[in-house]
Formats: sequence, C-alpha cells, structure tokens
Amino acid sequence: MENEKTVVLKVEDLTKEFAGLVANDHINLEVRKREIHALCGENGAGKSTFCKMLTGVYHPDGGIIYVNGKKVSFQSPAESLAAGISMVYQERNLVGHLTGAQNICLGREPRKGLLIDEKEICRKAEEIRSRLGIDVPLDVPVDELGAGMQQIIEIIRAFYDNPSVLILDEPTASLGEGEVAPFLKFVRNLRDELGMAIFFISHKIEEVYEISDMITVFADGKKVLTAPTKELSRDDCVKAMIRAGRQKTVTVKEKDFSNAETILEAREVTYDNKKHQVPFTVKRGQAVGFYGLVGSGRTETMEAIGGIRLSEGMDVSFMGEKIAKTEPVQMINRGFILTPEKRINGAFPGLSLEDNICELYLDKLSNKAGFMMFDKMREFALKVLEKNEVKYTNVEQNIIELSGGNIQKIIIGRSVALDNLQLLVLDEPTAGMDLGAKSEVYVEIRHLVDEENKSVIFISSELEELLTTCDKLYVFHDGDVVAGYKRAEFSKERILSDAIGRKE
Amino acid sequence: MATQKTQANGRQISKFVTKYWLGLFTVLVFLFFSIMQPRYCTVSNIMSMLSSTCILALVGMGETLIMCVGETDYSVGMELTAAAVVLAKVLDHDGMTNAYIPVLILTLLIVVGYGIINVYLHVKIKIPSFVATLGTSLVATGICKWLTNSGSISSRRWPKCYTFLGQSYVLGVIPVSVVVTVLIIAVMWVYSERTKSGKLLYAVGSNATTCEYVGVSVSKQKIKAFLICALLCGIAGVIQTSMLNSATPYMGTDSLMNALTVLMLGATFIKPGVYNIPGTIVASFLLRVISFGMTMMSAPSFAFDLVQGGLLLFSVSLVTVIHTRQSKSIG
Amino acid sequence: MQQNASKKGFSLNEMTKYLLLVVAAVIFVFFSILQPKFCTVNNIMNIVNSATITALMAIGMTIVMETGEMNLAVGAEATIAAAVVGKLLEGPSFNNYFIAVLIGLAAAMLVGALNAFFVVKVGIPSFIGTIAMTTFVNGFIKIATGNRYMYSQYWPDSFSFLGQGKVFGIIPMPVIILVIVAAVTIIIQDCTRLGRYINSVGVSPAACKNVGIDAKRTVVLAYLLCSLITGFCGIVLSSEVKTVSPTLGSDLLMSVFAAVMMGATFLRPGRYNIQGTIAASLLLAIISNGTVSIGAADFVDDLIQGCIILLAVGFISLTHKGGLPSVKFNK
Repeated sequence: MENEKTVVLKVEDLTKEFAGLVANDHINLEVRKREIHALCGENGAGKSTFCKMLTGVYHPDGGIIYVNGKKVSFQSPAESLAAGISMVYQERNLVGHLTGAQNICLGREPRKGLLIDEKEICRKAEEIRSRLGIDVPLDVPVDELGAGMQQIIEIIRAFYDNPSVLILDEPTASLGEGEVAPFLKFVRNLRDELGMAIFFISHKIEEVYEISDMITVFADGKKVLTAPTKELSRDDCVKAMIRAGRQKTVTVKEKDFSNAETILEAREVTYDNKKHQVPFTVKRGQAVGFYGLVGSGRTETMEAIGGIRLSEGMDVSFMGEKIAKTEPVQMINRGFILTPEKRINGAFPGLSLEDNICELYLDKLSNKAGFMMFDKMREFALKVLEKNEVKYTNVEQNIIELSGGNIQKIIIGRSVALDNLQLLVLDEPTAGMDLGAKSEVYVEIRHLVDEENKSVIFISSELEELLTTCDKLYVFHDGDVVAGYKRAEFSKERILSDAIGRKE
Repeated sequence: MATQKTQANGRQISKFVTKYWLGLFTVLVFLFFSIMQPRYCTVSNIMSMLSSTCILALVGMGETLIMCVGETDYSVGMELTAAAVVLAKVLDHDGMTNAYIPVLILTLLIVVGYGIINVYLHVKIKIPSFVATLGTSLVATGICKWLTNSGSISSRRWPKCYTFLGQSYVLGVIPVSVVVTVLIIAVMWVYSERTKSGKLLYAVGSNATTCEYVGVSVSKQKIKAFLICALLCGIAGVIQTSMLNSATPYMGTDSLMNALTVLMLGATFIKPGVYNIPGTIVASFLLRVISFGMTMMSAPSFAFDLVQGGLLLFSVSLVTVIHTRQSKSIG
Repeated sequence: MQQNASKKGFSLNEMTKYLLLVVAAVIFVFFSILQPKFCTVNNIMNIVNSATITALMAIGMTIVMETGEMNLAVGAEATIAAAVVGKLLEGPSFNNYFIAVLIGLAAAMLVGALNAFFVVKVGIPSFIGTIAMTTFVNGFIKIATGNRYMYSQYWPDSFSFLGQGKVFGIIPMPVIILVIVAAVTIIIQDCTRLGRYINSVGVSPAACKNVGIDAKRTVVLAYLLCSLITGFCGIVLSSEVKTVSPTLGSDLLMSVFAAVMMGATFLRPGRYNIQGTIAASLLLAIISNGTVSIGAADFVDDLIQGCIILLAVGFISLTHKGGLPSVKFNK
C-alpha cells in the first residue's frame, strides 16, 4: 500500500513579471515530505526567480504559496525562514573569520544573560551536525575550510530553524571530484533519516537521476512537466528543457569554410591557474556560436584570449600569429573586440551617449595635439546611433537614461564600427531584449559575416538563437570545449546533452 | 495658448536655474554682502577675493581630477606645503638671488615626485588611495616640520622676485596670481573637457571595468591624475608662500576640507553628479565670496566652521543622492 | 571527510597576536639603553597616560571601523564633550559634575547620531562625511570654548578626579577607566550578539542579510557606541590637564588612526580589533615618548606615524586579498 506522502510545499499559479517579460508563468508545484524534488531547466528558464519568490526576496505578482497546508506570504527573507523555507545558495554566504559553529548560529546566537553562550553554540551546532550525520569541523574559522565543507556548514545552518522544506541551489557546483558522492549520500540521508522535503536545483542530469524522486522541468518561465524520476526517460527530460522555437528571421545559407582563412585557432587556455582544453577554430566570414550552461567557461576563455582576464598561458593564434600575454588595447588594435557579458560593464554611466560611443575611438577622433574634434565625434556618434536604430532623445544625454536594449545596441554598434575589425565576440548580446530587438542583432551578425566578410563569435545561453544564426557551434562544459557541430550537424538534443555533461 | 507658452517658459527657466544654480547663488551672495557692507563691492576687495580664490581653485582642480578617476588624495594640503617649504628653504641661502627659476623648477619636480610616491603606493602596493595619501601626508608633515624647525621660514635672503607671484599686479590692478591662475584654469578646463586625455580620466572614474573592455589603461590614467594634482598643488604652494612672504608646515591644514567642499559643490553645476573643472572654479569663488563677506561683517570664527562643514555635508549628500538615483535605473 | 584542524595556521595566529607586544617591549628596551631617563617611574607613567588616552579614543574608532565604515570625527566627539562639560560648569551657580558629564556625553552621542544619519540614511561615504562633520562640530566647539584654552575657577574639584585621581595612591584613574572600558568593549566585541554583528556586516553583508541581521541598525549602534566612548575620553583628558583645549581631539586624531591601523595587523589576516588597538596605542606611546627623550624633534612623531600607517596597511594589502574592508572609498 502506497504511503501518501504529505505535501509540505505547494505552489498554485505562482506568477512573476518584470517589465513585460513573464519570468514565472502560473507555476503549479508540490514538494512532499521524504522527497527529493529536482528542478531542471536552461539558463533563464525561471528557476532563480521562482526560488526568490519562495524565499521572500521577490513578491509574487500572482498565485499562492502554501507551507504545510497553510497559506503564506512573505515581505522579507526573514519571514520565509520563519515560515519554514530554508535555502542554501550557490555562492557562499559565510562570515569568514567565525567558526563553523558560530556561522551556524549566526543571527540567533543563544545567550546567557547579555553574553553569547559559546558552549551552547557548540552544543547546538554539534547536535544538528550529528543529527544530519555528516562529519565536518565546527571549531575552525570557515575561511580555512574548502568550498565543499563551507557548503555543508551552510546546510547545517539552514537546519537551525527546523525548516519544513530545504532548497539547494546547484549544491555540487563547487565540489571537487571526491566530494560529490559523499555529499549526495548526505542529501539522501536527510531525506531518509529526517524525512526532509528537499528541492534540488541542478543542471547535472546524471546527479538528478541518481538522487531525485521527482523531476520538474521549467522552460521559458513555464512549468513544462512534473514526473516521478522513475517514469521519465532522460531523453524526454532533455527534450522538455529546450525552449520553444522562435520565429526564424534570418536565413543562413550553408557555406563551405574549408578554404577560408583561419581567424582564430585555439587549443588550450590557462586561467585561474587551471588549464582548459578549448579546441575551436573560427574562419573568416563565419558566425560561430558558443553554447554552454552558466559557468561553463565561455566568457572566461574569450576574456583570457582578449587580454581582459589574467591568463597564465595559452596556445592560441589570432590571424596566424601566436598570442602571448596580451593587453586588451593590443588585441583591439589587431581587430579583436569583445563585448562584456554584463551590460553594466560595457557602459560608462554618467557620461553622454556620444562619449560612450567614442571612448573606443579617441585616437581616431582627436587631432595630433590631443584635442578632440567635436564635429567628427558628433558625426561618428550620430552615425552609430542611426545605423543601430537606437531610441534616444539627445546625443548628449546620460547613457543610463536609455533602456537596457538600447544600451546594448550602442555597445554592439560601437564595437562593429572598428576600422580593421576581424573578429567580434558578442557575449550574451540579446539578454533581456524583446524579440524585435533580438532579430535585429541576428540580422546584424549575418550581415557582418556574409556581406562584410568579418567573423563573429556569438556566446549565448539560448540554444535556439545559436541554432538559427550560426554556421558552427561549439559546446562548453566545465571550462572545456566538449563538442563542435557544423550547421549541417546541428541537433538540439545532442547539443543540450553535451552541455549538461551527459555522456552518450 | 498663452498658458501653454508660459508653462513651457517656466520649464525652461527652472531647467536653467537647476543647471546653473551654483553661479546664480554666487551672484546672489555677492549682491547680499555688497548691500550689507559697502566696502565689499570695491575693486580692491574683489581683487583680493580673486587672489585668495586662486589657491583654493588650484588645489580644488587637483582634487577634482583625482575624484574624476574615482580616487581620493588626502595629501593635497601637504603637497602645497611641501612646495612652499622647499622653495623657501632652498632659497634661504647666500647666493640664491638669481636662482629663483631653477629652484622653482626643482621644487615643482619634487612635488611631482611626491605625487609619484602616492600613486605608486596605490597602484603597485594596492593600498587604498585615501590611506596611502594620509600616510604620505603625515610623513611629509614630519619632513616639513623638520625643514622649518616647526616654525615659519621668512628670509631676507630671498630674491626680490619671491613675492612677484603673490604680491605684484598687472596693469596696477590685477594680481599676478590671478592672471597666472586664470591661465592654468583655462588650460585645465580645455584639458579636462576637450582633449582625449581628459576624456580618458572621466572614463576610468565612470566605470573602471568597462575601461578594460575598450582598451583604456586604468593605472596609466590614475598616474596622470595624481601627478597633475601634485603639480597643481605645488603651484598653489608657490603662489601662497609668495603671498604670505613666509612658509610654515601648517599652510595646507584646511586645504583638503576646502578642496572637497568645492569639488562636491562643483559636481552640482551643469552636469549633476559629474566632477568638473568649471564647477569647481565657480564653487571656489563662492566659498571665498562667503568667507570674505563673513569676515567683513565680523562674523565670529565658529561661523566659518559651521558654514563650511554644513556646505560640504549638503553638497556630498546631494551628489550621493544623485548617484544613487542614477545607479538604481541601470539596475 | 578529512578533519581540517589547520594546526599550522593556529600557531602562526598566536605568534602574530603577540608580535605587537614583543615589538613594544623591544623598542622600550632600545630607548632605555639610549637614554636612561626613559626608564624612570615618572616617564613610564607619562607613557602609560598617553597610551591610555590614545587607546580610549582608538577603541571608539575601532568599533566603527569593524563595521566597514570610517569615523574621522572621533576628535570632534571627544572635544565637544569636554567643551560642553567645561562650559556648563563655568559659572558659579551650577556645579554638579555628574550631570555635566551626562550632558557632555549626550552632546558627543548627538554627533555620533548625526554621523550615523549621514552615513547610513543618506549614504554618503563615511570618510568625507566624518571629515565634514569634524569641521561642522568644530564650530560648536569654538562657541563653547571661545576658541581658546578653557579654564574656569568655578570648576568643582571633582573636575580633575577622572583625570588626576589615583586609586590605591598610585594607579591613575584614566588607567582604571581604560581597563574598564577595554574590558566592557572587548566583551561586547567578542561575546555579544552586537559585537558579532558589528564584525560581520562589513565582512559579509550577504550572509547577514540572509539570516536577518539588520546591517543598518548595527552600523548606527556602532557610531553611537563610538561617540559615547570618545566623548568620555575627551572628558577624561580635559580632566587630566584641568583645561579644555579646542584642539584636544584633533591633536590626537592621527595617532588614533595609526593605532587602529596597526592594531589590525594584530590579527591575521588583518581585521580591526580592540585588543590590537590597545597594544598598538602602547607601542605608539613608547615610540613617541622615546623619540622625544632621546632628543629628537617633534616632527619625528609625524614621520613615524605616517610610516607606520603605510607599513601596516601595505603589509595587509599585500598579504590579504581585498585588504581591509573599511579602507575603501565607496562612492
């Protein structure tokens, strides 16, 4: 006879909108006691927005949350903690110089009179630790512990308030090889011995299948499916994660690149003192897509090549020349330009549109004596603004007054205007843009490669747009390039599997 | 129809007032004091105010450049003092009668060296600029006290031209210091607003990370800013010792406070939230207009502190609020 | 899972802890050899007195620095408290010392509250804000003291108790006061929630937000606590010399800052802490007194303080990622 497990967390029609974009669309979900419920989805599918609503960081625009059958609503993270929802984030949130035990009791230290009761802190922390059945030092300052143990301390802290449901966000992301298996055993123990309801967010399909009882897939802000793990095939799961198809607004002819000039050829890049195998080639007139999940190393690799990120060495050649340690300005002079992943790092807040566009071209727009030629600047800026159809009021206005999409247009537009442009690297250029604006970017990319014979590397977390616009696609996983596909070989399922780390 | 026009006019007027309020306020204060004290609005008094503004304007411009790149220089006062003390001390020897120019150049080089030390500590050793310059200002204070025996240097052996910068007049009316300073202001104005070099400074202060992506070297720009600031403060020191006909280690005590006040006030002029040279100059004049007026009306000493501290608190708050609002919108 | 006891790190920590005291002892011996008069009971008392006053003020500054903010207005806080006490007791009619002290402390805490308002509510950078506040409060100090050394024959005898009294005939009151204040504040810092939060909000604001710690409230309390202590320090100092000097606070500011910076090297990897501050105050007092007794001029003090600040912060910047938390000029 099946034991009907009690529903601990229930979410009904939960919705959240941001300026026209629906991040979570009427989500319905249940998490039960003694259950590890996995949440899967591509970047931008709505997972983090969902969690932020559960932890009181965002206020839902619609829908209801129930904890243990009671309707709840939170104005702050403290309230969601009180209601029984505890979350451990992907980034570490510990006070470095305090011990594990002290971090566990942070914010609600037991007191003897006016003073903190350190003995009680040790006792309480130890009690939770042994209850959870994990072995980790509690008397050492946490900044002396490794990432894996720090995470365990945070999980122990999450148990301080006796949560009803525990949310773990990419918990194995920072664990080393030997730490994953014991960690998963620990999580299973939480479910079995303590009967916890655990909400486990992960990109790693293998882990999800190893540890979860239920799987929910998000895509495009909607819940696509919920099913018991046993009854859902890996293929169906992966298929469900893929975003809905979009309008094809660019036509891409199949081109033969076998005789084309090699613009960028890479084999290995070392950054953060780790070597990464990144075999990829970019030919003239080619649009190359870089796909991968967050943290897969696409941005880091290109920033290292571009001289923006400190690199300890690399085996890369650009335009036939080997690249040694470079400065960004040298790469720019050679025709290599990179747009930043975070839009804020591409703009100069407080400066005018004109200044923002021209900072890259100060040499060109100033005379020999160093004086800026204002009419040339104005002309150039207006040209870029017009060519990229930027919506603005006045070329002298402060750039922060523009919408994100328009700022992005300026960032791309000024990069494209580079005189001897050989390779343009666009890092998540369409993030936060509406469909119309996105299409304009795709058209621009094709124009650059087809008509102007330049090359483009298009880094994106939206597989669909890469499949639509690129001649070639490389998949990154865990810092390395794991697969390359020519346009004719494009296959959504295989690419997604590669990105997730599934071995065929 | 008529109301629409007046509404539009009203909006234009309020825009104008917000943009140029600092200048308008200066004029108002000037008129106020002129009415209260007839001696205020005389040519000689105005020339005195202008002359006094020079020192403040030079130091203010220096600190403005540093703020433009997003750093702070605590040692502007000591850079001023060091120049004055070195000049005074070196010229205080027999046989220096014709050596003013070479010693002047030497002095300015030394001050620039001071700036190099500041920026080295910040860029290479990575000490936050404020602490580094605080540290060097203490060391400089010690050195200056040593050179002056903790007193003041005033010498009969100085060449006659020692007082030229500070006490002579052009056309009998305009102080030389004002002429020199106006020339420097013009150069700095053009430099900061119209040259490639100036634009680079603003870029670093706006967003140092973005600079990486567009190939602007953040450390180079910081070096420029600290060195120019040191030079400007050095010139201010030379002019001031020429005005006072002496040099003491305490000459620069109020400089930092004053410089911060004028550059913060200046950041509300024309382009709100952006540190700029013209705003700093107008604010320098405003500060002197106020202090001269208060002196003429025999305001007690404490009133100056209240006004100064209050002005700085007000202007920093204003600039902070502007910055906060701006960063909220970019998200 | 391995047990990470990190025994090696533990003993290194222990060593650095006592390094300051070891250095203090070494330098003490050094000066005693150079100048026998250094090692007399009288001189040691001088050193102790000087160290005590510096330490009291520095403890206040340390508390604020631990939260990641600066407080350069500690001198003003001390002086205003002393000035208010002196002023209230000036006339023949009122001579309740205890009440006067309470009102003086309230005045200092008012300044602390203003600091907290501008830094926490308005959000201005604490460095500029507290510098501005110093000038502003200076105006009030001038009003109270008449801008000169303040002394009144009507001050009650109890005026000099805190500063000149002796317990058991030999131990000066200020030392007793320091011991009490140090004990209380160290207990607060290490053994209470408030102290823990003060040390956490600067280091890891995200962690604090997640567990519901109110960072703003913590910073406000830190400023208030600081002003209470520094106000008391000013009262004790004016009591020692039975005079209220309008510059009693500003004279001490740089030594206090140097003590706080140096004290941070007490703990690896470089965190502000009260214990280190006290040890550093002692070391600074020894150096200061020593240099004077071997006949060095007073400028040597400035030199040494400047070098100490640079060395201490430089050392931390070079050996610790990110340097010290509060010594950043956040716009």
